[in-house]
Amino acid sequence: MPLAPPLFTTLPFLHDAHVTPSSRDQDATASSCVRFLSYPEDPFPVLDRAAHIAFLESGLNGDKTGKLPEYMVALDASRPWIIYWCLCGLASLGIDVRRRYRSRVVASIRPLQNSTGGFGGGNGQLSHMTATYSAILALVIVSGPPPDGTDNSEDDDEDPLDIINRLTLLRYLHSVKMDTGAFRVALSGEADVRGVYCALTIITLLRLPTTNGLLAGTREYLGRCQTYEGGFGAMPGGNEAHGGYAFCALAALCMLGEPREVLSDTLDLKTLVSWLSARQYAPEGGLSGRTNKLVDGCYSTWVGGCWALVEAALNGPQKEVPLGPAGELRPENKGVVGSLWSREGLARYILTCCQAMRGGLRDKPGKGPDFYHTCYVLLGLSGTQHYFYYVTHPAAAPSSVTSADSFSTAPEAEDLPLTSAFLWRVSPSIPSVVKGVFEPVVEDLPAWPDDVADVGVEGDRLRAQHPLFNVPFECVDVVQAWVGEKVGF
Amino acid sequence: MPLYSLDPEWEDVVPLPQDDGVQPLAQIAYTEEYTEAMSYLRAVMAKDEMSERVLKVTEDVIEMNPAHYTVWLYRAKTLFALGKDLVEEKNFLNDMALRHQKNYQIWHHRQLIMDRIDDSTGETEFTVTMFEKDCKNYHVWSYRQWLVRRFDLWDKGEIEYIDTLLEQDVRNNSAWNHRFFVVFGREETVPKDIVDREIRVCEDAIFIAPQNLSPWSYVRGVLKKANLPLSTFEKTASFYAPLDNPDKIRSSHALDILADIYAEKGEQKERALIALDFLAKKYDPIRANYWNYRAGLIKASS
Ligand SMILES: [Zn+2]
Repeated sequence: MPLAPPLFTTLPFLHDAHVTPSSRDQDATASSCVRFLSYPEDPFPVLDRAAHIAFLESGLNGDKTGKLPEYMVALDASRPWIIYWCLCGLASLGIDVRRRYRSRVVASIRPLQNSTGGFGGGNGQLSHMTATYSAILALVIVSGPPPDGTDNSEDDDEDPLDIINRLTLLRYLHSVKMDTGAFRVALSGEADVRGVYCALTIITLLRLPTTNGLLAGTREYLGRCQTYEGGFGAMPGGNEAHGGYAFCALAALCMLGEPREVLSDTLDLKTLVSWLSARQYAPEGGLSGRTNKLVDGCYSTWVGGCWALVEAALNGPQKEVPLGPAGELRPENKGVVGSLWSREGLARYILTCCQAMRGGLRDKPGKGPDFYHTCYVLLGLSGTQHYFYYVTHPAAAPSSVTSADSFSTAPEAEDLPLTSAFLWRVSPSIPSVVKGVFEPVVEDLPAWPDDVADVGVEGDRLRAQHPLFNVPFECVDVVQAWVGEKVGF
Repeated sequence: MPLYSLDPEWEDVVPLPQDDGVQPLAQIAYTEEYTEAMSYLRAVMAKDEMSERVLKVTEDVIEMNPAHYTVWLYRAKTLFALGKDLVEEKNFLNDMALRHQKNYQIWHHRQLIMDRIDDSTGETEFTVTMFEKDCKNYHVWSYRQWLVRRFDLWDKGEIEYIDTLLEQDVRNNSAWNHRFFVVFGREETVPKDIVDREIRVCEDAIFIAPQNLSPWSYVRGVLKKANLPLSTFEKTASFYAPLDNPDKIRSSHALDILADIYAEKGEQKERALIALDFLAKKYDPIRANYWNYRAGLIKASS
């Protein structure tokens, strides 16, 4: 294994002499990362798949007592989140979570639903948009026909998604919608971009009607969240640009339309790309959430995930042609901009700095692993290995648009169900600016073949996640099929 | 030790246990105290009871789990229904906020309370106490912006406070961001002398630490707001990144802005490409793909 290039093992060429608390933190982090990045025995460690699987399974199953330790009471209002993080992480590692956890996921999520619509963070807790989002995603990950050999057959006739009451959920969404275009995260709760992203994810995946002004002003609201730096704040009017909110805003916008159209009409794309690019640091290779803040593994998803959306906006919709080894459809990649960030840098940061010794992934060296970081660091690593593109050709358009009209009371153009999110595709080959040439994520790396879709038990390859919803890519098709059969609520 | 079941004040309440379903995933091992307090809280919430004892049990749960949004929201509702002294609530919040720096819920709750109190006395001072512990706390900054807007505090010491923070750490981007909000956040045109002052502030900050991105982004924001061309800053940028004397280049951000300035001026595209090439190869190579992309755009346009 060749040593890491000097870019990742030496401190930046330009370095100001003036010391402040920010620069002290930055220098300490950079130096500690360099120690890991330049470790001569193993400059590019493999993904410790078994240890991470064990860590995530402990999140679902608890310890020997079957429960999570007492200090995790801090997550008592986030239980659907724990379930989602662990399922999603396990799925990206190649575990068949549908077979293993389907009935228990349904049993765990069911008591979180409130009769007034939506899901709470625990049984008897008020509905919350982020709890509803994570509860629904957890169901999505295990949805579809019952897998063979499921041990608990009781719940198997119904799809996990059938437990969602879409009618009360729609009423709940209307009750948290604001005139500003935003969504509150709860009744009397704060309104911000998270609320909007969660709402749009729910509306899109469950194909809820957007009549009666459900999305009135929402796109403009998202546009107003862009700051002078180019990134997005939590809400309009002065909040600092932040990676988490940037992902929420961009993914939400991409649910409202074709990326190139909607992003260039709503935002200053040039400043956005500049801000996004400035989030990646050397020598760390990782991504930071804000200007002059430190790299953190979870931004591999929040900031790393923005790249697919921005690149799709710059590339425009792609035609698909039968280019794969067995004639599979692949993007034509005409005039693509290639990767505008360093996939290698992020992959190196994750594998060297974010793997905790006893399993699980973390923010940075010196921090402990947790389920949240494990999920989003893995998603980020998966993102470095995949190329996401947006297609428009008639065959790709969802066939069920018309049937969805049956519950749309006023089928005006703006009230049609949101379908753009379903035109995303993924390829394991990453196109470069030069037409017909693909770039390896990391040069000379046998564990990272650049045209392998399958995730085995060996190597570092992870399964692809949907760029807007952060669930395994194929789950989105399953939801589409499920919702396509719905007539009314 | 059971606290509620033996308390005569709670005699009439039948605690409501938590239903986690069959073989639930991600179940948490609660302490007895938490389980008990929650079961009594669920019981009073189910009856929509709003009373003194509700406030007590919410305080109890919040102490054990301050991230419990339901409890905060129910507490706010009860406080308002009972017409409680909200200044007392503020004191409770001060203590909670200082002990739980990363908590989300406290700040939204505080906003609900302060909106009712309708008097911001001591509030900016309290955010300062918070910033002394973490001067980049996102929720506290967001709250401070709400305060400024809600109580019209635009000219009540904001700029002066930001100056102090930037003196302590010129890289504090949250302070720069707040500055932009205070200077440009009002729906009115900013007079020329203020624009000039802001440009000077950036120049001074850049002089101290040329490789600090914050003032470079800030000045781009200022120029855009004031409808001034980027080239307004060409002289300053050239000083920190003399293209003809590469050994003297001290700021990648200066190269970045120069590339934009030269690209805008049609006849100097070559110089823009030189700046971008320096960035890709030497001064900021982790972002090489981005710099090369920018170079590609310039080449394509000529
Ligand atoms: Zn993090």
